[in-house]
Amino acid sequence: MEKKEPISRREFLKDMCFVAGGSLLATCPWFSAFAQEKETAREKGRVAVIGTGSRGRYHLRHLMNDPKAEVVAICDDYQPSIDEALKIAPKAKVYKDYRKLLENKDIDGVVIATPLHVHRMMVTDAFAAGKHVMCEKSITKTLEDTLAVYKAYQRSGRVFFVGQQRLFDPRYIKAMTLIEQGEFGPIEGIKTYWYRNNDWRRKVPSPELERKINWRLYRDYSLGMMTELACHQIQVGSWALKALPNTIMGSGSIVHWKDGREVYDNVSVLYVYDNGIKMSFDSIISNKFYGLEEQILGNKGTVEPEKGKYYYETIPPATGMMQLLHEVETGLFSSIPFAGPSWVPETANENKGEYLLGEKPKEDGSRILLEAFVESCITGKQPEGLVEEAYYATTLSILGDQAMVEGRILTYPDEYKIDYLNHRAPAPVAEVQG
Amino acid sequence: MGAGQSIYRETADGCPMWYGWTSAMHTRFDAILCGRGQEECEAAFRRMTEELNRLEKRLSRFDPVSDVWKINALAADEPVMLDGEMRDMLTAALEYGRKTEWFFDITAGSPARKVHPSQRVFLDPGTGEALFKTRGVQLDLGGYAKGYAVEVLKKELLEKGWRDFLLNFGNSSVYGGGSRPGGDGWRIGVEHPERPGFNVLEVTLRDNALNTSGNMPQHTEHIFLPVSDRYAKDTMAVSVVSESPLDGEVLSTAVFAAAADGRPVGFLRNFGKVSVYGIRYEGLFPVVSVLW
Repeated sequence: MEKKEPISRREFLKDMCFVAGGSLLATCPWFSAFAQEKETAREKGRVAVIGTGSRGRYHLRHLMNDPKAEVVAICDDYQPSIDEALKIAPKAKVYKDYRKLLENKDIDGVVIATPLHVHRMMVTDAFAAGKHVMCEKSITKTLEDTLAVYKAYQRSGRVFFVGQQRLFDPRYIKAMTLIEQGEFGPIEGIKTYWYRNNDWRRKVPSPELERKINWRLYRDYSLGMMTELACHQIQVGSWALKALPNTIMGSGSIVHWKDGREVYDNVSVLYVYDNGIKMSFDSIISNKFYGLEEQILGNKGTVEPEKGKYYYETIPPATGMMQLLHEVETGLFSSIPFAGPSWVPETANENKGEYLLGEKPKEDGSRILLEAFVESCITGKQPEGLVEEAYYATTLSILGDQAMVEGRILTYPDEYKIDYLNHRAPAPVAEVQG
Repeated sequence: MGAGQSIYRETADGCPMWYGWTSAMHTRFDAILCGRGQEECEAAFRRMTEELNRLEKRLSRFDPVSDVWKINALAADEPVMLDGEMRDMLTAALEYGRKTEWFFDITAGSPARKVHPSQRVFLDPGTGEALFKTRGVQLDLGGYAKGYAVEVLKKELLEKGWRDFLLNFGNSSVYGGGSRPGGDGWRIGVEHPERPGFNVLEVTLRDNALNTSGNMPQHTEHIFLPVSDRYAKDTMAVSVVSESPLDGEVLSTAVFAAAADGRPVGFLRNFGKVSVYGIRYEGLFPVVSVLW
């Protein structure tokens, strides 16, 4: 396979420090994963990928391009996936049973990209085997399982990453930095949506494999759009608002794809924060016009990190002034074209916004997320905040589904709170002396 | 008038740079302030927006509570008492008319066109009153106010010790104080109205102003030509580089009006050191000529 030449990690980190204006660790404490990046320059993290479907192979490609990662093994119980994965990592040892893979002492960490319903079992087994773990989101599909995984992680002393790649995405980092700096005023609400126009099915070679391959469509395996899509987007809420919602309501239905699936194809969920701010998640998979976005609405401006853009609320800043600022920042010298006959609102273009990074986005955070995991496999140090962000992305997705299924307004249950932001884990119950 | 928004940045070598913008006088006002902390910049910009707000309220001919509206409504029937600032402003504006052979005229476009501009407004230096000498006179300070505002704001900044800053009022009135961080002055381009990002003319400002008057393809017929008694339709522009933003504002309008009617611009000798450029948008490439 031809290797791409992406920007080096060191360049990326330098860029990120610049993007965050010196406040990278305040905005993204999980970047502490790279704190010993220089000291570990000659070391390698030995990793394995469990689940070599499309997402697993995507991770595998990134790992093969990471000079600090050594891909020791791969595991899947579906031979076509193994065959494809071997084209990417031909030297990897192949396992059909993940338990056997976990017995391999040459593996420091495992990347789990299997269907959701087996996450709890695999993650807790991996911790029990002393492995560091990166698990695809969502963590699990029930509150109980998610808390169990979180507690297993706490007991293990191992590193735990979850595939919330927005946490490492330069567009989101810049957006959150600007939000923290108050650039858009107080955040008044967040609207997230993910629209597609397809049946979300994978090709099934024979009918008995339907549930194995299209596991996302069945409730025994997945909560559909909530655990597969919403989980990414509602995580932005805790990052931007530095708070967690306590009230959840929603409505879901199967409107278009009445093909035997059990999960909704049309959902609207609302998360209400204690101060009255709301975050919505909407998804329809029979219309794709609006695509996906997280619109973070401030009193002075709006951010659309997925597009990599932001917009000011009143009149836009002058393009020429923005260019001038950018040139001064980056040490460029040119004549900035903006002077001319008087600018009047009628002659102004519509508010097309500004790019967060001064240009169109090039990549999301998946590669850096994996590199951070490999780095943590080497150092054995857990970066701050990452698990907690993922824990709440998962539990809020699950609660969104529960609110829709039960058709009622839910309050975030105290017993599933952990110590993060405005939530506190319940105090341990004292034993009553008889 | 907008509440104003801002962006704070630091250059690679740590020089603070602050950009604030707001809507004012039916256009956008931008200020870049360099070398001081965010709070100080915000305070300075607040002061600037207050001043713009105040001037807009005084000078708008569309606002029934403005001074200009009041003068326009009453001065044909009775003398209107002016305060010191208004008296000085009108005196200076009429003097600019005289010095530009009335190609700059704050009463241009008035229905009273048969009366020579020099005979339309009487300012009594003794009483401080204004009186229109004939009916149909209307003051329009639209072509004056932005230059006046930039002049006032720039003076205030200099008095308070600011050195490196850029003021931009609607792109037509620009003042570059000192220099951009890491550079020598502020390099500004006059942009082609139909080709965004393309410079027609490049100027480096160091404690001086760049003013441009002209028609944009989307916004024509807003400059009145006193000689031919019509609004200019020509797609052309005049840019003036001068020490005073107010001189530049007046001269860009006056030279445009003269040039559009094919008249000489000898009145420029009544002013100090100025550079004047004419831009004609003909065909693919605009023609730029040095007029003075």
